[in-house]
Amino acid sequence: MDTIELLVMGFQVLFSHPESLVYCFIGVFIGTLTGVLPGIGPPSALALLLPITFHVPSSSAIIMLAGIAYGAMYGGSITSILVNIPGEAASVVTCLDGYQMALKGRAGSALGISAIGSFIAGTLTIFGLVLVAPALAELALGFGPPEYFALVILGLSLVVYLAKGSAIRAVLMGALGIFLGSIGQDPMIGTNRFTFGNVGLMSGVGLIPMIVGLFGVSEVMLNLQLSINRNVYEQKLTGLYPTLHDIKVSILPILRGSVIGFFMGIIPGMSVMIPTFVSYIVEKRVSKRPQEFGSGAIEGVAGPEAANNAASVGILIPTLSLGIPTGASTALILSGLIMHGLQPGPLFITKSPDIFWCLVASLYIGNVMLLILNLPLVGIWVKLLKIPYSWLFIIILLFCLIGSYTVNNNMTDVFVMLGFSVLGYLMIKFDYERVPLILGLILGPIMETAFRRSLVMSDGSISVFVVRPVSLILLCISGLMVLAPMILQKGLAKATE
Amino acid sequence: MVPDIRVKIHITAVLSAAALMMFSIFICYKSLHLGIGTFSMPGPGFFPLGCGLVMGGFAILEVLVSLRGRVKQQPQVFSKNVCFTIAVMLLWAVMLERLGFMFCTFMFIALLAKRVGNQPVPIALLLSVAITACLKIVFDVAFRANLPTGILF
Repeated sequence: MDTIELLVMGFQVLFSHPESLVYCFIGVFIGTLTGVLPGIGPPSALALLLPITFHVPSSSAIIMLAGIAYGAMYGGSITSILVNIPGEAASVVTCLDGYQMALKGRAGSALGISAIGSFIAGTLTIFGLVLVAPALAELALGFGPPEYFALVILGLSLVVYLAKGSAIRAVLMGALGIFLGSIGQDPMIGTNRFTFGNVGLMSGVGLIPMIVGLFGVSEVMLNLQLSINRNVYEQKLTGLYPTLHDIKVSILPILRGSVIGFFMGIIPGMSVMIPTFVSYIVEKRVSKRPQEFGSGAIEGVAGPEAANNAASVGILIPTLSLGIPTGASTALILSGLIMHGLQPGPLFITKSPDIFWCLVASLYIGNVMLLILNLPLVGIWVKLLKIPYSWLFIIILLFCLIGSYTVNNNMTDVFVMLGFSVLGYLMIKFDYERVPLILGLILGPIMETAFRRSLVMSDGSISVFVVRPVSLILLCISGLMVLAPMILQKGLAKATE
Repeated sequence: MVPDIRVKIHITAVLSAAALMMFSIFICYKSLHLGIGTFSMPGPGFFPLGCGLVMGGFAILEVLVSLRGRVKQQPQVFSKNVCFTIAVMLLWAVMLERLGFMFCTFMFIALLAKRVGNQPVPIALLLSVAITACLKIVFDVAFRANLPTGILF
């Protein structure tokens, strides 16, 4: 079957199961909500809802989780424009010009072009996903264990390279995550490792309680120390539908943003925030009126918003076709897939075509739903901005507690979650990154299996990783990624002395 | 005249790195006990040993970098609100299967709303009842989760 036929099949599967459409709506609604409410990001929302997806059919669960990830991109722009507080990290750039447009009475135009730009970017990049993901999966079918090992190393190295803080600490957390992933039964021999006689640890560290604690509760604990003063936009929102002039000025930034976001999103470790900055810089460079940027240029909203939405689709490609998550959100989506007995990777598209193509179809339907939620219904979100955090945090904590308990109806999971909450909080406070830890936990078992199989097939020769060209190239790039920031940091330190 | 710049050690950074270093020694020790096998047939301890060695190496690097670091404002680690919230969460976890979901959740919400959210007592109690009921419906009916009833209700 060719790609178009498969895509049509995806739509047929989606519409023949109306509950999937309901879960798609729930996902994009919750995604927009997490984008709107500062203090909750897509990883936190995904962490909260992962345990709940146990009770939902596999395809619906994945559709819902993906909906949260890209829905948050739409919602984040609302608070950026109306309150000058980014709803989530990828909407930081939108504050620069979006809020200025609101101050000039053009909040409606900013919101309108943001929603339309996101829709166009989402639609275009879905076609990109359709073309690139199967091709990448086809390429990866030729990978053997050494290539897979090198690919995982590259994924982890890129996360270290793109780490906001110290590269050394990022490597430490990655190694700790890989160790935590080795707790439980040895994948090849079956020996118990680091279980200390605890039956609960034989199947490994509970992924869901760990994720909920690291990304859900720890964020709440951090927010309890901060007070968020919000000056909510009080004027009536008008002019939501952009004028012809607005569209004419914004169309090229939207197209450029889509391309930038999509291709940058594919890179493992790439935060969705970085393409938005790149898009903003590009638009300012090519604009005939660069002096207007920072004081309400609509291109400064259109381009970055398209980029962040395109990136949120692009990040799904390595996750689905290689089984390598690119960040916290995709690591959580990958966890969801594994929880439902699905194995993302090169064989995912061929072994579960109904789920993959149904997911792709849902991305398009989800974008349509988001356009409706964010244009005519934007008033709902403005009202929600007024919910005090003093109530919101309690509900979030309860979802974390109850969600962790209901995974196995086992209190041990709740205590694991609490332990990782404290650890996650301390990590944030002392500048240790959590993303390398969670990626190490998920990728560690894949890495170990690939490594040991490589040694078995080469009869113990380490050279198997360097005699194969793909593996060698990937390992060299990984080495550069890890060493470059450390050398740069050392150079900078010397220069400032 | 060159100003006298005092360089103080970032204590918490050194301590955290030292703790990771000690942990990596523990990992290496336990991995050797598991058996590392040979290169042609790696044992269960082979990979964790590798992790431990990498962690140990980078932990030493971090200790050295931190010892040379300049003073940083020590972060306020645990505020009263954070400590209280953790304590209430622990209490909820310990008491859930004894006293039941409804009571524990009601108390959880009321305590946090009053102490951390600074809500007046009547509002805290009223909304606690409402939120508990809603959550019970959401998790019991919508998600069909098995929540403990305990000795109360």
